[in-house]
This record gives sequence, C-alpha cells and structure tokens, in this order.
Amino acid sequence: MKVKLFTLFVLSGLILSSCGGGSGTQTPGATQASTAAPAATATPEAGGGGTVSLIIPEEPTTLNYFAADAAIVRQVAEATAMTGLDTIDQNGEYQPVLTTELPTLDNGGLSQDYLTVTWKLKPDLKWSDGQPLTSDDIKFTWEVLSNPNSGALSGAGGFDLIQSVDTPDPLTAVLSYSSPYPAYLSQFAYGLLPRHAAGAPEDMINWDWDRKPIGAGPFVVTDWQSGQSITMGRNPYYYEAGKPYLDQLVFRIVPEPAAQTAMMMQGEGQVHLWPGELPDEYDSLLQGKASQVLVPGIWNMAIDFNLSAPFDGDSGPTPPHPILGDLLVRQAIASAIDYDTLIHDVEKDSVYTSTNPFEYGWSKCDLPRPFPYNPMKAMQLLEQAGWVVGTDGIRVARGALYAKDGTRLSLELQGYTNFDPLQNTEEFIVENFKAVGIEARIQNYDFSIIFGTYADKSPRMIGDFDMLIFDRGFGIDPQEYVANAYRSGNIPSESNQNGANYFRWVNLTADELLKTAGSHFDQATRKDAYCQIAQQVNTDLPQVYLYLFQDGYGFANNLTGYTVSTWGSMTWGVQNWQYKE
Amino acid sequence: MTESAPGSIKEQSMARMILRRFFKHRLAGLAIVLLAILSLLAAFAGSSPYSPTEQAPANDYQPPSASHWFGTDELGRDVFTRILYGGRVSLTVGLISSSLSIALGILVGALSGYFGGWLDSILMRITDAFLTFPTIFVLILLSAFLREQPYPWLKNSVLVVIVIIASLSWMWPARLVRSLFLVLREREFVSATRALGGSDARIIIQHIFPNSIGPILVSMTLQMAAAIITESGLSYLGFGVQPPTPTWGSILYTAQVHVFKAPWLAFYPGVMIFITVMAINYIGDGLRDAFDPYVIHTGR
Repeated sequence: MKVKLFTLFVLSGLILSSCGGGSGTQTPGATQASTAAPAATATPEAGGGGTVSLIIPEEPTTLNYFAADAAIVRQVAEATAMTGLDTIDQNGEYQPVLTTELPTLDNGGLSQDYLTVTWKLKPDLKWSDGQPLTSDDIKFTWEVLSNPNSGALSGAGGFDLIQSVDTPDPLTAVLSYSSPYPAYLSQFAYGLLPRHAAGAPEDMINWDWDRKPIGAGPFVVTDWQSGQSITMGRNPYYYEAGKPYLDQLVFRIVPEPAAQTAMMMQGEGQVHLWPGELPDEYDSLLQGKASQVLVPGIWNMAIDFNLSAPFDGDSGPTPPHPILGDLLVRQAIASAIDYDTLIHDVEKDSVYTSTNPFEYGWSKCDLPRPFPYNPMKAMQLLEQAGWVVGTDGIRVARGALYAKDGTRLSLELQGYTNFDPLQNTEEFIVENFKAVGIEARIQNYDFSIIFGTYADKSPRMIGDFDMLIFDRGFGIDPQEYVANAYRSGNIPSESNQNGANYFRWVNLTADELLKTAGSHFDQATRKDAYCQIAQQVNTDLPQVYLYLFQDGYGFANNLTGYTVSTWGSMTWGVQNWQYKE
Repeated sequence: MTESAPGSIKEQSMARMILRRFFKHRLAGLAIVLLAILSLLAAFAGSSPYSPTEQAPANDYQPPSASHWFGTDELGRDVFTRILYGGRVSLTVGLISSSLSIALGILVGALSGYFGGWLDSILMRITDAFLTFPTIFVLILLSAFLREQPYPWLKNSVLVVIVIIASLSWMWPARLVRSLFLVLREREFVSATRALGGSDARIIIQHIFPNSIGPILVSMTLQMAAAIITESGLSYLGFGVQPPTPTWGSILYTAQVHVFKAPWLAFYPGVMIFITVMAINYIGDGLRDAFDPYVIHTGR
C-alpha cells in the first residue's frame, strides 16, 4: 500500500513538471555547501558525520507509527521514534535492542504457562530529551495501545490481552496476559512511548509528540517544513555509544518520480525511496553514482471476491453474490489470468510469484497455483456454471446457480488510484477476462476511499463491491492480520467495524485452524495451521493471489553501512550509515 | 476592404460580416481546420488497425516507427491509436464543459453586473460560496455519494464529468463578466441606447455583450485546457473515465514515470493538448476580431 495520497490540485503541477523534464531546481553545489557545515561540527567519535538527503514521494501525516497505517510513516519514523525493546533483523529473527535479553522460556522471561512476560531494560537508558527511560514507559506504552479509544491503527495487536504491567524496579516490567500471545516479542519492537512527553492515551492521534517525537531512536526531528522537508539531527542520548555516525538526515518530499531520479543524478539525494525505474534502467541512468537495491517486500497482491450480494443493504455473508457466489465462476476467473505474462512482461519481473497469503518469513507456505492459466478450462467452467456467450462476446446467464437468466457476466473491479503497477495489472487482467467472456469494469478510487472505515462506508467494509484488487501485508507474526481477514466472525458489520473478512467468507475449518495458530507457541505447529488455512483459501477461492512486491531503494555509492530488510523500512539501521562526500 | 463605405454595412448581413472578419484572421482559419482534423481523427479512431486496449506486454516501449507512428506504451499498446480514442473524451469534455461553464458564467455575470443591487448581491454571494468550497472535498463527497449508487453508467459517464467540471469552474467567468458589465453599463453608448428606449435585453445582448466578448473568449480557452487536465484528475477520485479507456490527460499522467525511458509517451498527448488549446486560443482571437463592434461599425 505504498501509495501517494493524491489531490486534484497537484495534478496540473505534476504534469507541468514532467513537461519540464523534471530537471532539478538547485545546483549540486548548493547541497555540497549545506552539507559541509554540519560535517565540521561532527563529534570525534561520530564516524564520518555529514548530512544525508533521503528522497521520499509523499509527506507522512504523523511520525507516530501506531497512529498511522500508511507505509510512508514508518519509512521516516524508524529513524527517530521506533527504537523499542527489540527489533526484527534482516533474517526475520528477533534481536534485543533496549532490553538486555529476549524473554524466553529458557531464561525464564516467559513463564511456563505462557501468561507472564518479564522485560529487563538496559541500564542508564535515556529519551532523546535526556529524561530517563524506565519500565514505567513500558507500562505507559501498554496503557496507550490497550486503550480502545487511542485511535491506534498499527502495532497494537495483543495489547488487549495484557491485563496488567507491574514495575517492581525502573529496569523491570512484568506483563500478565489473560491468554497466551505467541507474538509477544513483536509487541514492543516498534518503539516505546514516553509518559513524560506524550499525552493522554485516548488523545494519541492528536499529540504534539506525533510530529516532534521524543524517542529512543538515533535521530531527533529538528525541523519540519510542510510539503518540503523533515530534518533530523543526532540524538545525543542514543543508547549505542558513538552512533549514529551521521550528523543529520534531511527527508525531502518530492512527489514526481522523474524529478526524484533527477535529484539523485545531480547528487542532491543519497537515498531514494521506491524509485519509479526498474533496477537495470535506474543503474544505467545513475552511471555509478547510485544503484538500486531490491528486497522482498511484504505486500502481496490479490483479487478479493465478494461472496455476498452487493447493494443488498446488509454487510453480512448472505444472500450469495449472484455471480461470484458460484465457486465454478471463481475457478474460471482464476484460470483466466495469464500469471506468467503478468509477472514477466507486465510487471517486468519486478515482482515475485505469489500463490497464497503466506509468502514470506517463517510462515511461508510453498503451494502450487490452484488454478494455473488455462483459458480453455475457464471457458469450460463457465459453460458448466450456466454462462453462455452472448451476442457481444460477453457471457450471459442461462441456468446459472444464482443469477437470473439473461444476467450479463459483468463485474466491477475496484482498485486504488495513482499506483502504476496496480493499474497495469488491472488493465492486463481485464483483457484476460474479456478473452473468456467476462466483462470487468475498472473502478479505481482514491486510497482513502478504498481503505476507508466502516463509518465512511468504504465499499469493502459495507460489502458493496464485486472484486477488489489491492496489496496486503503483515509483519513477522501473521496471527493478528490473518485472524482478522479469515475468521468468519470478522466480517465487517455495524457491530464489528474493524473486521477485515472483506470476502464475507465463512469457513469453519479455517476458524478452527486460526484458533490453533493463535494459541500455540510452537512455530512448526503454527506454520502447519497457517498452511492449511492457505489450502482452504485456495480451495474455496475467496481470493486469488497474483504476486509479491519487492521494495526498491536507491542508495548513493558513497553511502555505506546500510542494511535492507523485508521487516524494516528504508531507515532501519540508520545509526550504522556512513557517508563520504 | 478599405473601399467599403460606411453605408455598405447595412447591405451586408451581420453574420456574413462577422464570418468575413473571422476568416480574415488567418491563424483563426487555420485553427478551425486543425480542430476539425483532430475531431475527425477522433471520430474515425476505429479505422486504426490497432485496438486502444489490446495489449502486447512483450512489445512495450517501442519508439515511434512505421508500424507504430507514436510508439507503444508500457503494455505494448499503440500510442497513436490510444491518442485518437483519447481525443474523443478529451475534446468532448474540453469543449462542452468549458462552453457550459462560460455560458453559466455569462448568464450570472451579466445579470449581476448589469442590474446590480440585490440581484447582484445574491448572485455574487452564491458565486463566492462556490468559490470557497474546497474543490477536493466537494469531489470526494460527490464520489462517495455516487459510489453508493449501484449504477455503473452514472459513475462512468462522461456527462457527469462534464457537469462536474462546469459546475466547479463557472465562477471565474462569472466574476470576469460581471466586472466587464459593471464598467460597460456606465458608458455613453449604453446611456444613449437607454435614452432611445432600448430594452435591457437589447442593451445587454446587442451592446454590452459584443464589447466584452474578447476577454470572455480568452477565459474560455483557458477553461478548456484546464478541463482536459481536470478530467484526468477526476478519474483518480473515481469519477468518469476509468482505465483502460484512454484520455489525453491520463496518457500524459501515466507517461511521467517513464520520461527517461520513453519520452515520446509524454510528448504526443502533450502536443495534442497544446494544439487544441492553441487552436481554441486563435479561434477566440478570430472571434474577438469578428465581434469587435468598433471594428464592425467602422468597417475597417
């Protein structure tokens, strides 16, 4: 969902700048002059120092990771306020950060009944304003994220299961859970919130802290020019002595892809988030100045089917969708997509094949495509399901399961705007569908509508859609996301407005498997349960998986020490970056 | 023309006179021809050997050649064909919505500027109200309303796009026309007509309007260019023309990302919009000359 929120007003400006060839507005000399001054003030123990400019396509609305679900927030916030008790490294393993060691069964940090977790802080930790960081801040973080009115959109999974947090001393926090939570190590991996500098839990989304966070991360926000740049200086109280090596980060907000690349060409940027060009093309344009690094992402593109009738005034699973309610039709749709051409020629091999929800991390399931590309079979299935070719090549119902005779096999395909890879995919599969007699009408909406809330009447929430296409992803532990998406009790409704079972899929086997996966601590057992859920998905076909995105980052060749990770953002590990001008 | 004596004006019909003056402006004549060619090309887009939506992804980013005059795009579609089809939407939206917007603007501005008083106050407050609406929120609201209607024809209709663009852009011409009328209604020739018993309608239509046609036409050409661009912006909010149907604005927008690799993708739709806007501009120029009462009555 790395998408640029888009307004009508900027459009004409964008087009004008593209006509201008996207040439940079500043001379390279100007940047060099501005980087020279901070370098002179670098402290002796701080590596090479210097200022690094990071080009980002859109402005984050907040730097509070928990208060947002837009991917851009983490890309910036990870440099300042997302240093927590532990982190997930590039291999998908938990590593201690502010804690002395990870609480496990072996070291007693996790109790035998899995209901008590004890976190020990490293001594003498400080927030970026110099105040001590203590176990009470762990307690405060729990108070905020377990508050149902906090407005938390990310990273709040399992906090409602924590019944109490005891702080026997400033370095120790003892968490009591009402039921075992296998993903307990991920809960404090995305940062802590300071009690002294934040605000009331129920007011989280309005804290001043959100735009100028006091954190434990390597950098601190020093300046924020709306629409232009966010500047960060070193956090003098960072827990690792001598780090970060750099003196300053400047996040420059440049919406136009060609202008971003032009800035990299002119040396005005050292790091480039999500370049518009593919690696080969990018590297040849940058001619040794910078190159693009790809890392497998977590964003998994799929088509969701609505199994229930749209526009029937109810968001529940009944009555069935007149067309998509029939499994044969869903199988036909899955067989009609030319996956290989889509991945190799349309997406130019910038994505990986994906066949199921579990495509990365320890829960990855290697499953074959349930219905490989076979247009002949698609047509057979449609004939069998009672859909015959009409006068204009689009099929009409004659003896179909739910649809009245004469109904056209015409479906709306909803996606979000302003993301070229998605639109290319849509346009391609619409042609695939046409070839077997299915009409798909693309209807793209702004990001905010497609991913809107139940109260906003977002189509996927109230169930008024036929097919949705978007990319979804979860962090290192799938449970929270997967349970929300596949449990039959999580169909969005008036009483469960945060449910994410957009397909209106009811499968009792999957419900049981989710229970197993969510209550066991043994990874093999959990993985087995997830893979069985994937099988259920590929049998019932509430959705069809297409491909997995990679995240692309452009790095200047004179920047070293960076690590790219599926589990982290561009700025994960920024304390280790070194830059030679 | 210099030999035509003032007395001969009555012998020529007004319409013929205007036409003659219009075509005397050579660029205006050329512009009419260009616009006609563009419209015809769009109308007969179906005669292209390629389909605007059929893809050949392996044949992407072909530079302009004999088989693909304007090259191919990221999905291997023929850009020339897409521009022809795109012209249907873009020219329709541009011409009709700017005409509608100007017509509404003239009506409101003329009434307001000529009559003044309470009518002026009411009309101008309405205009102000429309101007203060943050466009983007009105659009999001409309989009939300339309998406709850299960009628695809309503969401994807070019008519809806035209009405939306016109209803969000008539205020500028309205204010322009009002200010022109405010000035012109105090001029001697208006007083003279009134003294001779000329009705309000006669004064407005025959005397003030022709004198203000120049700025109005210039404003219309600007509106038209803006409408073509706005149309492509609207589709991002879920209105109107959705992919894969091409429009000039959407082709231009998609081309931005590929500006280093395939500059021609942005060049051709840009040129089309440029030609259209220039043509409208020159036609506006020609019309101004043709309608200019000073020029007509002195027979220059």
